[in-house]
Amino acid sequence: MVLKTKQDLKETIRQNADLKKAESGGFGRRRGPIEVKKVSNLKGTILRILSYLKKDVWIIGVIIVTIVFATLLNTYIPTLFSEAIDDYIIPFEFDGLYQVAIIIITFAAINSVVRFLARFLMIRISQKAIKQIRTDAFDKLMKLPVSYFDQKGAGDINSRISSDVELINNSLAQTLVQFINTTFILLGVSVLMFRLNWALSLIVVLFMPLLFLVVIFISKKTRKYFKAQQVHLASINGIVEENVSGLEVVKLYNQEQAASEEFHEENEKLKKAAFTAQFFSGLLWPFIHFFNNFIYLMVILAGGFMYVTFGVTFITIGDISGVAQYARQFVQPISQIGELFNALMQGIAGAERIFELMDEASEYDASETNELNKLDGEITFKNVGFSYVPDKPILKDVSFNAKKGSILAIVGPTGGGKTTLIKLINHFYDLNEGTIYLDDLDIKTIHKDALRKRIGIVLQDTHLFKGSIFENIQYGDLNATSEQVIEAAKKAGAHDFITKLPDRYDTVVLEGGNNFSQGERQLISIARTLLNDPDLLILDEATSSIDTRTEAKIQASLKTLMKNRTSIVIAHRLQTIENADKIIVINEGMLIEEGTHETLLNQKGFYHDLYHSQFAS
Amino acid sequence: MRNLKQLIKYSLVYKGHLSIALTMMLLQVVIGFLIPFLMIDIIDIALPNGDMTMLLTRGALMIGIALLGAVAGVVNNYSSQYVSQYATAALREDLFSHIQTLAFKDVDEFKKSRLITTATSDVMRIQMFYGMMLRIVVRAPLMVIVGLVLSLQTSLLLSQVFYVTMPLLIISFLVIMYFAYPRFKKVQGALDELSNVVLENANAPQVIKSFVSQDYEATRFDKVNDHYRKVNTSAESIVAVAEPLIIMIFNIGLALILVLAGFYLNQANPSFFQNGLPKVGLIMAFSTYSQQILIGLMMFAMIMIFISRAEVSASRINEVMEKLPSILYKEETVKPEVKGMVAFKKVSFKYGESSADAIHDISFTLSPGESVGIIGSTGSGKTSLVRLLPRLYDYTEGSIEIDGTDIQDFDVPYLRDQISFVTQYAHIFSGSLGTNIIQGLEEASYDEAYKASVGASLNDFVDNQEEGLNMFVQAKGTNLSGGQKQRLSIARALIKNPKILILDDATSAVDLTTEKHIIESIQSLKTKPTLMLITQKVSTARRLDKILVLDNDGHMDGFGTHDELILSSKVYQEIAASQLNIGGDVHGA
Repeated sequence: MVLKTKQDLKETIRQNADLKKAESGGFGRRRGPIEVKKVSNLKGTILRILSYLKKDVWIIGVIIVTIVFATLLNTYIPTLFSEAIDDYIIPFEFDGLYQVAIIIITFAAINSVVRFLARFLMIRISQKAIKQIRTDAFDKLMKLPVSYFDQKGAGDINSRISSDVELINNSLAQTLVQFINTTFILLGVSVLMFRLNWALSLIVVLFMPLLFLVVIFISKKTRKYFKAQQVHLASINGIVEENVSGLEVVKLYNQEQAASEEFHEENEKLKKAAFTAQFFSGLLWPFIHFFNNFIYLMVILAGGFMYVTFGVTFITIGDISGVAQYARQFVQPISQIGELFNALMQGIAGAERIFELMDEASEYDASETNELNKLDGEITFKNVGFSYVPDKPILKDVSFNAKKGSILAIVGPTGGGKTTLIKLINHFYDLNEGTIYLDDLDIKTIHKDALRKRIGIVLQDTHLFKGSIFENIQYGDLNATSEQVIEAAKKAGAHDFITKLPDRYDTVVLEGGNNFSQGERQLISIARTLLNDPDLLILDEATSSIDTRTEAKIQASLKTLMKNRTSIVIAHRLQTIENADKIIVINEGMLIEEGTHETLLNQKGFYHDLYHSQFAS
Repeated sequence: MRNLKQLIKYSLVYKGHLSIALTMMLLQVVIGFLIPFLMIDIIDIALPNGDMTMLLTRGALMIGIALLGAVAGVVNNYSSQYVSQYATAALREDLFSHIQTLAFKDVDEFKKSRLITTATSDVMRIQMFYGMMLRIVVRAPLMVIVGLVLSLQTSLLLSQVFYVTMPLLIISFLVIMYFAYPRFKKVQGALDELSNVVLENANAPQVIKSFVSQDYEATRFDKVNDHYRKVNTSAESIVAVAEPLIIMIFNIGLALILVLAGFYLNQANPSFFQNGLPKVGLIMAFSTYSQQILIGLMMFAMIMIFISRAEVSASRINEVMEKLPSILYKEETVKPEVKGMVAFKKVSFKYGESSADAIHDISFTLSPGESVGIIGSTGSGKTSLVRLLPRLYDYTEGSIEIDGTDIQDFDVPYLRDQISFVTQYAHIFSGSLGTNIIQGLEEASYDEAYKASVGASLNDFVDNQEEGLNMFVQAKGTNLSGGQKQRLSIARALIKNPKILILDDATSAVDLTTEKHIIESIQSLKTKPTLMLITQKVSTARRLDKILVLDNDGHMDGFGTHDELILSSKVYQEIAASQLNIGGDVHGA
């Protein structure tokens, strides 16, 4: 076989990109700007966004009326200006002129106030709608199964809830007001323009389809090239992220050169793609400027021709000036249609991504009706089979029983399925085969929240939240008093190090708990679980990074904790195994041996070998 | 503005395109004014006189000029986009290379996440700035200046309208910016808070579900969500004032032009008359100019808001760029042959000037091929100690020698080539299993890479993959398990047959049998490397030639074999007792 280079791999990946994206989130997981996806269900999505505005339907009515009113007022101002020229300046009647000036200012003032009001209302209701969308999305997120989080990754979920929703906001606030504005400018301007002089106006209107077509053409091209730009941008962001977060390895293996070359190559591609995209999008403006001038001139020339040919009775100089001004007003809204369209499409793409999250199947279902208060904690696995991905079974036909109040140790090689097994007890994933019983109840029939409340779990990856240490421990029982929190910390052996900190329990835990060592984080998490006071305790022996001296302290307090509780422990330590009432050995997804430490050793089987390779020299 | 000014130099490289862009823009601006200017005569002379020839020649001229303006616009677009994209690419590349030269201490100070956002989103904002600079930042003042000159020339008297409109516009914008800027800053902060809550939840669904705290989290989210709504509503409302206000000022200007024109016509001011008729064309042209000037001012003001944001990004970029790597390489370096003897001589190290020693007064020697297990409590300085050898950090006191040469005299890439260091956290790069392994040895073949995977006990996994070592690996190795990632990073270390091998607790997610295999395969390498292995486990450490014990404060509590230390080191005794159950098991089992 031959090793593929990164370049080869990229080719294959690009070819399979869509496939991969659909399967696993693949490259989509990389945080980067949102790709403008093809919008699939345009109408449905728009209606769904609008449904969030339902409550404020009368406000929207007010907005529409005010904007129409303001737009019409504003379009009338150039008419006043040209009429002033014709009626007062040319015949030398200046008193009327001042009146027109006052009317213009009054109109302008009303227009501005009304316009602001409409915008203000729109901002208020669109912000309210956005908030509601976010709330709904987050509520849904809380109900989604763990597998969803595995699949999408935190970055993707975050970009949906924060930035994608923001796109809807932009498009709601912008497009609705703008759309009404544009429509009525076009309508109002046409009426006024035709009223001034129909023949000249016809010339303006005839040129408009041309403008419209070119704008649409450029926008379409631009979108295509922007898509290409986004792909390269996401890719370069990926390279930056990877090389900065793995800077140790880059330096230790003298990879600076290689990293720079990879970066340079992608940077060149991005540069070219971005240049093409920006150049195309930039073409719109010179074109519109030209068109603007062109229409203006056509009006003056044609108007001049009519004036010279047919005389003042057919057209006045004021008419020419008026129609010329209106022509300019005509060009502007049409040129905005491209932008409007883009904003709308982006908003819809954002909406689709957030609605997609909201439409995922939630992990709770109606059949979970059993409420439970207190568990005995007897647990039975009966022929349990499970796989994350079809055809790749992680657990096969696993059956065992742990009696109330006993300690069950799970041992076996890495990747054998131990961690998966304990996640099933909590019903984080649905079984493919078999049943798990808790006190004779099929866990499938127990409401997941009720089930999980009774189960305490300490995982290998400790997760702390931003907030104080106190808050993090209190998380185990949100109603706990400060005495109870401190008590739990003492039992977990965390009190000592916490009181050595300058702010003690008020010390702030930064995002991800990075300002504490892994050992300290685990101590806090154990305290949190202690406070939770569960009936069934699951430990993925979270002691690997706690130094052995601290661990001795924890072992003692865990012992008290395990008393009278069924405990299931993924064991790495001899002491844990020896203290267990029962040991099950999991290898390659199957339960291969079961018994006590003594009986298993005497069997001279897999456990015997494992024990001797690990704990004896 | 200081920071943006510094970044402008990247665009100055493209002098040709830059001057083309500027010339074309000037042309565009001039043409924008020229057209209404040429129109004056059409309306004031050609029309009243019925002069068709003048109408047509002037008209043709004007269309030609408009076309020229369009061409100028396209060329300006080309050149300015060229400059902005090429300058950005250069800036991005400089920044990336610079980040790579930074020492670890510097990276700690900045934080990795900050460096990533600087190299991505801050750079993007500067790109927008470059683009705007050539198309708008320069254009807006040009429009104002040219417009003013033409207006004054057209009619000094009507120009008095600017006394009213300009101050109004400027004051309005200053007021809007004054209120908007702090509000937008708040919006940014509120968005950070919001996405922080989402991220925390998205990262720990198992914790939240286990503690059944969904309601609590929903309340927490509702708080930040509502805060964001309020802040955003208030910021956007301020900006919503802008457009109506501008339209208002526009229209006031229009009304004032009428009033002024009427006033001077009434006074029979000669500059308003042509052959006894009022100069309507002049009034029309003037009203067009005044609008152009106001548009210029408006663009300028809008851009000021953007510039103040770009300045923030520029300052963040410059902060990184101006940071000199705190580990400096000597000018004259050596590349002596390395056999693998490592000597620490009274070495102390601390992370910052004011912090306490992370390790203190450590001395020991390892001969080539010898192995040492480093053991001690969390925070005892184990990782700090090994990081000094490949100069990720520099020791503060004492000296470290490899084969008798101080590591500071070594050529740094050469030094790092002699050492393979497997970090605690397995950093995996997107690509394949193979591309990750050959980071250790660029020219390696498939077979060599496979051999390394055997040494790291990864071969079973590789054999199970359809594509073998070419199996696709996602960024950060998200499609691999913790143990697989660790073994992959060990394979990366083994492939280059290092003289010195450091494993920083790199087998924590690997089960003990596999760990044993890995250590055995290291020991049986053709050229056996000097091995420094950080571990928590006595059972692992005792397999090695020597054990180095660190106490809680980074002092050495013992250096010797298991049998020696179990008698002499109190710290070691405690650790051993906690792991091997009771004293009786220590010697036998």
